[in-house]
Amino acid sequence: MDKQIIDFINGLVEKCAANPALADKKEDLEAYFYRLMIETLIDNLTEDQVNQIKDMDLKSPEAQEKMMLFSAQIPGFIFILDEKLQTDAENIAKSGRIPS
Amino acid sequence: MAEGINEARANRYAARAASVTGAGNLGAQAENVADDQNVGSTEARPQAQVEDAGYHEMPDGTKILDGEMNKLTSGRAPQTERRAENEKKTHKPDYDYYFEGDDLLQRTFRNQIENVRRRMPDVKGLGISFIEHGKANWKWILGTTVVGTAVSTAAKIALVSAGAEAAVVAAGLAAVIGAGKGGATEARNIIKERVVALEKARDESEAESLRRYNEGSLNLPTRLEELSQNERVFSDKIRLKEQLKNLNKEDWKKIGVTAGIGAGYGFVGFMAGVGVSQLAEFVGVGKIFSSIGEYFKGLKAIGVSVPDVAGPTGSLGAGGSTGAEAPTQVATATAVASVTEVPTVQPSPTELPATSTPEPTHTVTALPSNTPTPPPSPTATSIPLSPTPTQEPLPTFADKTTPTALPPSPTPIPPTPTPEPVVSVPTPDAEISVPQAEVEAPTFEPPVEAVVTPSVDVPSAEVPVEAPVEAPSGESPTIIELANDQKIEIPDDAPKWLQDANSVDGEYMQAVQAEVGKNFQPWVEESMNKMLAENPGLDKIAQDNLRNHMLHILESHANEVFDSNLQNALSDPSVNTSNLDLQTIKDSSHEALIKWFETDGSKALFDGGKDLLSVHEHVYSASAEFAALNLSLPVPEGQTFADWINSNYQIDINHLDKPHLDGLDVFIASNYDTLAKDFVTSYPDTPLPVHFGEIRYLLELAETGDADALNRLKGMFAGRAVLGDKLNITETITSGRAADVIKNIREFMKGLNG
Repeated sequence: MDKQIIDFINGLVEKCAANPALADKKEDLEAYFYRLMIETLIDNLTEDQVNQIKDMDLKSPEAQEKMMLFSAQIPGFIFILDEKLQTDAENIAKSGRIPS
Repeated sequence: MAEGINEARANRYAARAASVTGAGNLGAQAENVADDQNVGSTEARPQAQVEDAGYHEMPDGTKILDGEMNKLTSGRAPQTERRAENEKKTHKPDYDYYFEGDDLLQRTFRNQIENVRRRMPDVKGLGISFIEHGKANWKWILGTTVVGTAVSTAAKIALVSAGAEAAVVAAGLAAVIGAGKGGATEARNIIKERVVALEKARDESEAESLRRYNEGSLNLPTRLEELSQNERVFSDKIRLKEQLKNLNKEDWKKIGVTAGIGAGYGFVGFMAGVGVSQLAEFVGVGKIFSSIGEYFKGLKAIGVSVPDVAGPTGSLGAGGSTGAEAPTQVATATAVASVTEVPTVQPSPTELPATSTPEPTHTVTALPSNTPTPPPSPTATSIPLSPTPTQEPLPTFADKTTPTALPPSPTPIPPTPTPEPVVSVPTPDAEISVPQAEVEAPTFEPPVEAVVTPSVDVPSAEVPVEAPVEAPSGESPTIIELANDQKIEIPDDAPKWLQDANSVDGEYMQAVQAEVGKNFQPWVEESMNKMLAENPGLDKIAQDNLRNHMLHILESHANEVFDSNLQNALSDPSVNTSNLDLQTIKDSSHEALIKWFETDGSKALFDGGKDLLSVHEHVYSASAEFAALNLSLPVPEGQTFADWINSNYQIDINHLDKPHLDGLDVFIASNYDTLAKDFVTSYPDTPLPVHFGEIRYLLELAETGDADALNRLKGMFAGRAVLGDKLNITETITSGRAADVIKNIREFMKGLNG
């Protein structure tokens, strides 16, 4: 499934890069969207889930496994993720600016 | 699959998820399934062979397969029996409902269906979904058929989650059923409603905390602890994001993909669990869904049983069960225990109908325009630092701090007068000094006696208006406007100072300013010194406002006097306009000004200054509270939170109306994450104060007249100093504007209570 996700993000990147101001910032756009995915996940974690990973190194395999698990647990998370990404992509495409 | 995580592992995670989310045995069972998959169970998946089997008709006409009825009402049938039953089961195409029984999970599911029906009364296709797919899927989930694939395991997660998050499941159903006719939008909306409801529940919990606090059954430390609990989680999230920020792009991609995969599994499982009838249409919702659609196709390609994707337009069942029981999030052991015993990963290609899932195009679909306002997202990256664009520009504080009671100055004057004369005008009266006794700076005690005789020597009222009326030939005439709103046409041969009489930079206006600066500036400064001696806490803004207030009054009156004398001169037929000397006007005006000051002027200044100082006293009082309230927030370097509010959102002191509160609310909401993040960064060991969320929420409620919210808001402001002490907040704030925010809220509350 990772390919589909990567393709999806690439689609968002291309959409944003249609704005001339972002044409040469595809790498930054890609990074932004992936980070946004993670931040959106963090935003939607429950207290218990937060407690499980708050002291972890996010780069560790354990943390990533947890995050994958949590992503599957959060009801409707794909809806949330989809909307967040799409909304941000639209805003970026319009503004020509990548949020910091 | 992401690096290091294969699908079998994902299944295991999913199984754990089921356990974590309260599935009890179901979760453990799912984990067993994952294990089964890992060991490569090859048990064939029983098919729902189509053979006629009797069905039970419920009083409401609902038709339920007899076998299912037995199974669902009397506990799980032995596996072999069940398998045999499955193999011979069939269904009628006109079933309304497939499910019935006492099983909690089942009832939960049915109630969720009813939720969808209530929300989307015009939805057709629910019946067909369950007729055509629901049976197999439901059995599948309950373990009566096949479990043992990634999808089935994830389905457990989704369904278990559904028990706890009924509305979200309903949303999914809505999305499934209503796809192609706005269902996706509906799904989004329902999910948002769910999120809002969760937030509301949290806030209601806090309201209960306040109630107990007000009753005295909850002491302040305990209450603060309770209120901070949610914020502590938020603080942890902020710290996680901070850690995330320090990773590199590759890390982000790796973790992001992992999260996406998890979301995908949840989605796939969810869709499988509820009975996907319109996956193909649903794919159009967004590209992630396209990806999931692809994933579905991929699963089919490898023989994993995936719900049929037939459209809803077949034989539609109307449905109609009331589903009265409340959803329950715990599956019964009866339902659970059946799962592990029928693991199989053997595909049954004949069960895989052709999918009409369109190819993903990776185009970004437009968001529905009618989506409700989402709750404030604590995602720092997307929060605008500027005020909401929907807010109309508001007056600046500078606008409001100019006392509105002042007589309007018809002639433009600079807001800050030049203290020293800037025009070299002969001033024969320069040596005139105002009698000390007459112009002594006020002490801001209540006026002992009112100077009631308005003997101001301002002759403008008696001066007839004699503005020339003949239109000159050639160039358009120069017209000046006087303080009394009279317009006078100035001849072409008039001196330049007269032609420029309305110009701020002209000699005439500068002479007015010089008159004030020369004769009254010392008095103003002396008054200021006395005020400061009596009010040592007066800050710079207050001082400037007070000084400008006095000078503004002086200038306004000086302008009236000058204009009056100018009008007299212009109306005097003996005066040759072309030779009219500015000094003549100054001379006549000077004496009138001194006389005015000795009589009415000083009182006006006294009263005005006193009023203004009163405002500032109020501001100071509020400022102290505001400091305790907000200064724990390390907003951008060099600024206080109040500065930040002021720079991003101008509060009008003269308006206590709802739009301003709305604006403040929006500001806090839209900046909540940033504010909180800054706090967490600077005070890592201090729980995030509850202020912002409370303020935002309580303002919303208070505006609807909610008494509890009002009380809570009051308590917040009244008790914040205590909290401030608790948090060791020692900073102070000097911005009067920020304090005005508090004043506005206070006045607002007072108005509502009144």
